[in-house]
Amino acid sequence: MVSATGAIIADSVSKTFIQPDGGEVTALSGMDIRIEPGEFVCLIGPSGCGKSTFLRLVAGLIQPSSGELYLDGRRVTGTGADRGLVSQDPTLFPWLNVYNNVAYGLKIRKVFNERRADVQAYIDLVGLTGFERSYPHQLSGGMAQRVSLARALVNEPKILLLDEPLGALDAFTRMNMQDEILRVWTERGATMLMVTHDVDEAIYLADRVFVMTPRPAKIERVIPIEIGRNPNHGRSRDDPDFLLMRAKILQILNFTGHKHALEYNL
Amino acid sequence: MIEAARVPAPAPHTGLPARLKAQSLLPLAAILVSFLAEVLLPNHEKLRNPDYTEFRYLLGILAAIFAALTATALWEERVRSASKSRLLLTVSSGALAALAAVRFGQIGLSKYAGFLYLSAVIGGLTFLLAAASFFAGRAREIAARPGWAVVSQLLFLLFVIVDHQALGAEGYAPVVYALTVIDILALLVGLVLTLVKDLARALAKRGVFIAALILFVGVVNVVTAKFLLLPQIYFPSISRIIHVYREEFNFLFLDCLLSSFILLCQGVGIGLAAGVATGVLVGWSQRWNYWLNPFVRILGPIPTSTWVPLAIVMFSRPRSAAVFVIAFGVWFQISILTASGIQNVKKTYYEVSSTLGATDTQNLFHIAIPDALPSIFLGFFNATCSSFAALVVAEMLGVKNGLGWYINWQKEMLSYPGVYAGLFIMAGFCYVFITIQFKVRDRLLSWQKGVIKW
Repeated sequence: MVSATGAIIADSVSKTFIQPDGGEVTALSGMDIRIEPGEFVCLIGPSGCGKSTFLRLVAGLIQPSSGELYLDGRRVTGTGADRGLVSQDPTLFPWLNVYNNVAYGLKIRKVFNERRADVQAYIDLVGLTGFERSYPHQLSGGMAQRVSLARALVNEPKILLLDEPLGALDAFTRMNMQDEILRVWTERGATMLMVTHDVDEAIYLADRVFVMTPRPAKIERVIPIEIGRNPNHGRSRDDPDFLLMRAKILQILNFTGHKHALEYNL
Repeated sequence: MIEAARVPAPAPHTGLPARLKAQSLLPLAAILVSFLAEVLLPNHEKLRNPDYTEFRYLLGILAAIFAALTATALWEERVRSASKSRLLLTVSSGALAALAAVRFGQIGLSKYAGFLYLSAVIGGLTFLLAAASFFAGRAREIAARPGWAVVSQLLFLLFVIVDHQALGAEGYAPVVYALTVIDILALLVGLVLTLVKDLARALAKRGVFIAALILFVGVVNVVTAKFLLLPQIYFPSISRIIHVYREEFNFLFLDCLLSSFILLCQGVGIGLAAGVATGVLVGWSQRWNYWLNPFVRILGPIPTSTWVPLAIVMFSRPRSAAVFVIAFGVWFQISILTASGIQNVKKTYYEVSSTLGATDTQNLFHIAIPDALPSIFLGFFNATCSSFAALVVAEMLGVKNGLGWYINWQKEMLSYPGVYAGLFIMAGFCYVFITIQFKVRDRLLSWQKGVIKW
């Protein structure tokens, strides 16, 4: 199921930040990107290469210094409930319990009464049934991140922007959450734009992986992942194609064979 | 081996540990020592005419209370826990509401009708809750809290006293008398049964402190009344201080305390509203910050008392001037902390909120203010503490009433027993005011347990 909306087009988008001392830092230069509706795209690259900046531009939290950014043919000028953002830090509102954190978007948009049932449905979806009355400080990091995901999902955004959402989680929770994200994506059909450091995660989830390099920050290569997905979960992580794809991406990112071997150094 | 690893079965409840039981006996011992000193040593205080013996009554009342509590502490396991007594409390509140309704029908709007209203409303609410508690779980929980009933009873007792003073005994029909007696009995029984175990435990834990306090009072009595080691004018005996309460009960509690309470509520209420409004504007909006912030920074730190000359000129009524002086200090402290609370809200909260569809105004009311609440409460707490000082200053402004004014007046009359009597009421008053505030805060900000501490 692919929705008809949620296309992102970036037309030579650049973003320059001005430092307090007057110097300029170019976070992004001349990004040309076309993301189809309902596509799952992962941005991968070393830290400091402007991945998060691009996500924040799409979210409308910051404006490009030059170039244009279009969402379904309309220019992005500010934030909107059609683009949900989940960042590495769950940033739950500490004064609201889990239920009210998830319900926040609906209440803000004054559709809570009609869609009351969805709040519980999404809490159940991320496996937090029974924690509705807990406050954020009583949750573990993984639980908080799942609340954050549910809070973005309940708004049913056309585009879900995921800024290293699983970075702080342990390996098992991480794999579970990857499957959760895939399931949500299949069911909802939203466009997914995810920033990650984890090559395996990118290959496991994405339709296309955008490999970025720093200084000058730009997209080095767009790699379509043409490995078939299993019906109930993502790709097999031990598929030879999977391993090949990983080697390819790591090579682009300038990790030599020596570094590659380190990954197996258990 | 397996046998040894087994966890021993929990021992049957045997009451408090022996050390705590021993501690709970200490206050009684202290009372006995103080009483012996009071009775056996001759009085030398020349200003006592006739010979006041209030201290003995005080010790007697304390002895009765502590005897009951100590007995409970010693044989705690035999005292039944009192859940039905709470129902008794709520039922007594029903009687209260009925009584208040009867009295209201009789006297209508009198000078003290406000009390009557309050006590009738709270009593009625409690009664409704008690009735509803038979059907709903949540209502049962609330009805089981004695706090409701206690508040209504206190208001009621205050009313009865005031009413009796104002109208005399003739106004009282037998049915009203009977209802009053039933109500008060139900209240006392319910209260004692509900709280006695908690109180006894508290006594056992704080036994040493309470005993030391009583001994100290006993020593003060010996020093002031028996050996005259301190100047009599400035350090009156305890009996003389208690005597002030007996003689001037109505004036102290119904005029002065009430007047101070109302003045403080007005001042703090206005200051709170203005302070939160200013703080939100300064913290939230650049434009308001530009215009208001200099005023807050320049006017705010001026000590409250400095405003007195101006306040007298600005307001025609001394009472308004007094309210202004209190409100001003409160305004400053709250606006500063509200503004800083709002400026310190994490930017990421706004970002998340915006991506969820919130407008700027929604960010203010749903993010900035809730997140700044702990800070606002901190400001409120500071402001309340300093408002007590402002209260005393404000009561000098021709408001010939109130606790602060009373203490000063008594000082000028060189009547130090009155000064001490006023001081003790003031201390209790401030304590209750602050405690209520903490309770409100804990309820409103339950989420911040474990997040923010101050």
